[in-house]
Amino acid sequence: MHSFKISALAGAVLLALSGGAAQAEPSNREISSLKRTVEELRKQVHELKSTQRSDVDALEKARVDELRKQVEQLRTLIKTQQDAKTAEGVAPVVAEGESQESIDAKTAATKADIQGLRTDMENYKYDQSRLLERNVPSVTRNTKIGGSITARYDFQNPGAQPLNTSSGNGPTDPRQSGFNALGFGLNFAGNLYRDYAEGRNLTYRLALTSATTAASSSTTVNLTDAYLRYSFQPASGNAEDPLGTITLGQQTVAFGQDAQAIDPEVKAVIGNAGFVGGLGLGTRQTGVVVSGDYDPYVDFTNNYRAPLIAYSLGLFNGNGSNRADNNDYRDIAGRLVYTLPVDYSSGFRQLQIGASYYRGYLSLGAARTLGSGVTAPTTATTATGKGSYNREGFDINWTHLPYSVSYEWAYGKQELNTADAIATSNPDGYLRGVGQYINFGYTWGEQFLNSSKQQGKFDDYWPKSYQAFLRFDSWDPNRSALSVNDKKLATTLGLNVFFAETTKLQVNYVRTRNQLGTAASTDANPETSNLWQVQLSATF
Amino acid sequence: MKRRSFSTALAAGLAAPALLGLSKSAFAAGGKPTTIRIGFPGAGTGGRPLPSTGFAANAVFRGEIEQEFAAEGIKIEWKYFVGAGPALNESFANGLLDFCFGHGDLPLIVGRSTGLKHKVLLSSGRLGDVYFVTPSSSPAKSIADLKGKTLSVQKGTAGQLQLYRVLAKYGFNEPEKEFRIISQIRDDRVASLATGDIAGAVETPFGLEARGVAKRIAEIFDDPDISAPGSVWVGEAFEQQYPDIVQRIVTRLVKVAHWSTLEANRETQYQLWTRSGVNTYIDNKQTWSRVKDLRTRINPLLDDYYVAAIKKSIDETKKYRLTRREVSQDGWIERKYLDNALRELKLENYWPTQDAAGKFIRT
Repeated sequence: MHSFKISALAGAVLLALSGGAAQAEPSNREISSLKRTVEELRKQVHELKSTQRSDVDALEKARVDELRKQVEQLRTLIKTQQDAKTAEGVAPVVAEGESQESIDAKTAATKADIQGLRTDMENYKYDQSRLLERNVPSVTRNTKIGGSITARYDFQNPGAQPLNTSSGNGPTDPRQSGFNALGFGLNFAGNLYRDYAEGRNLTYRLALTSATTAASSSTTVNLTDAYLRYSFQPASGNAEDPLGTITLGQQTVAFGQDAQAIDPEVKAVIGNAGFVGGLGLGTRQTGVVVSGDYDPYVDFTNNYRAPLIAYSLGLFNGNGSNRADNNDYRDIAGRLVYTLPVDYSSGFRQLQIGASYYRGYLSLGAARTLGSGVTAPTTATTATGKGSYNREGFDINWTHLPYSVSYEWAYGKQELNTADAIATSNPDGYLRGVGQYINFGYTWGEQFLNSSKQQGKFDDYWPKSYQAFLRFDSWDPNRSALSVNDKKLATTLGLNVFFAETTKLQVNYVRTRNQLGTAASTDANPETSNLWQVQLSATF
Repeated sequence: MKRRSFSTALAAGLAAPALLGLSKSAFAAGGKPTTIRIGFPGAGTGGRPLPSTGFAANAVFRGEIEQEFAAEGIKIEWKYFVGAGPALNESFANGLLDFCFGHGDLPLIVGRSTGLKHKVLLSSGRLGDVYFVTPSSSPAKSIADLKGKTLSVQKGTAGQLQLYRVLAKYGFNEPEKEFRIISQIRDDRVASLATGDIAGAVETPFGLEARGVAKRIAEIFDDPDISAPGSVWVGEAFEQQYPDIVQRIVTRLVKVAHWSTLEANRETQYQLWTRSGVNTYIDNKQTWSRVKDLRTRINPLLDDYYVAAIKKSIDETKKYRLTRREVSQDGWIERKYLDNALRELKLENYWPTQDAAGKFIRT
């Protein structure tokens, strides 16, 4: 480029000079002089051209040399790096003190590395599909399987007396202590239809439990829960939304607190309160229940949810579990629970007041036989009329860990067949029973906190928790003035040790006082009795 | 007499386990605790007990606190709460925590408003990226297009206030009226984005975009008005009983914070944070590659910005009616431990400071 400019300049000068000479009228001497000048200029231009060309060439040569040198250096560097790669794999230049992670970040993966990774992934995919096909059980619908195993050792004084019948768990000889046969529970639950859009899900639960008898070495398996549940209120997972479900099938009846704690995995006390058995509340029923809550108060700063009102309204056969209806009447059960809408930090946190009502009907039969207590109707050989019975309950519960107090009162009134023997002590034709208990609890450990339940953990870690309680329970099966000295008072002192969420060791000491009046205390009907129970309930 | 003996036995029976329970507390009779219980408001994916980011997380991954107390045999008990800041509050309210290594502003403030007694020791970090995402099928082009629709956030966490601020930035000052905002934990929120059950959320977008599940419609980088600083605190009772232990933990944390700001350790951190599974290595790298000076985010100072940001958050909790009681900063921030640590480590002028508005005044 530089030499082209010089050539063009020289050409232009020559043209200019030759053009001027042509237009004049020069003399020979002037012509000769001009010719000499031209020749001289030509010579100078040539020299100039020659001089500049050689400078440029030298410059270019120097540049070329420099470039050649740089290329050689690069070639050397590349060769060095290639040699290093060949010797050590892909190794980047490492600064002194640089962390391994930084070195890793600069290290490129080779095609062979990627191929190796792909091979590993393909092997993993193959193993997974093989495991799924051969070793992983499959289900048609989303299913969760759970259950429990319960074992218990009892010691009682005076000991249990032999029974005349061979059914039940009664001993054939007087017995003070012994292991109880193992009990187990097995349950399946899951989603039949998951409504992704609005959370109106359809779920199910099926639960089985064992029952043992002294008469047979085989175990009888009974159906406990068997129901379908539809969420008519969207189960969005948003704590501020109310909940609402319809449950169809065999299920527990929402009456009070203790009556709903039927299964061992949810019971804090091994035995139920006296009125639960006495009023026939500790059984499941078949029917339909609408339940839910209204206006939940949520303290998000502690993940605390307190529905202002929780409700349950059910329609049942009223004939207990695993039975067809024995009459043409449906029973009705309702429960309302009010929870104080306060923050988690409030002293009144989880203070709940509940009221329950159950209205049942029965066929009054001439041949009915009732025990000493108010029992749920079983069968009637001859239906002579329609009778009714009511159960009314009130409960208050305050759980402010580590402390908890719960009180429950229940009253039952049952119409009698006038031909029944017990009607003689209840001349108005109604048998009335009442019971109540108060439970004081002290809990330490993290088991019952939501924050701990949801705590991140590896494998099966669960913090241990302990729960000590003292319960005073009374039950009067017949309040008639004509039936006195039939009350039973039970005091239970207990300790529950939780190894996992619902796996626990329970130790209960129960001291029972029976009102005997003037009757003498016997081993069969003692004035006081002592019972120690040690139960291990493991849930899986 | 017999009845009286029975009652005495009952009382003794109840008292014994109660006393046993108290003895299980972290407070030992001597001058040192047997256990120091430290909580993180979060956990790794699938509930893995691992922290996810920041210098406090590095303290865990590098075993710093364990090393500090190994000689005395003091056990360190880490707790990772899937229920985030609110769950951590519940745990502390029940006497199960001594320290929190990074509480978000909302649960911190509301916890204090409800009587939780703690002392703020240092900041666990500041600034950060905020992405607003919608399901990939959404026709929305901006947040304004989502008015009246369902948004998701884990209420009670710092994310709730942050969402409100993002919405306010786009002109929505009454978020609960202008949108239907539901509360979900992260796993549920991500699932809801995939199914289209929610119209939008503030969420890390990279993994969702890679799966084709969601797309981002707004992104905000290191805005001091949007992202409030996190806080490291100690329970007042612990602080009063073991000030030396508190100082050692703070000093160790500041040391880790310094280590975390060094450029040479940038890659190491990306890989440590990947262990929790919350963010992949690539995501960590992508998120932090814009941060040229790590000290701007990894910053333990309780400077004017920290104080003003928490004050602003207090005002916002009142404005949005998230607290029912007044919250004062008086006596809440305890600077002496941080000051001692900075002095001891000769780091008094190491970190950049921000003024109350969030502008860097010392770099």
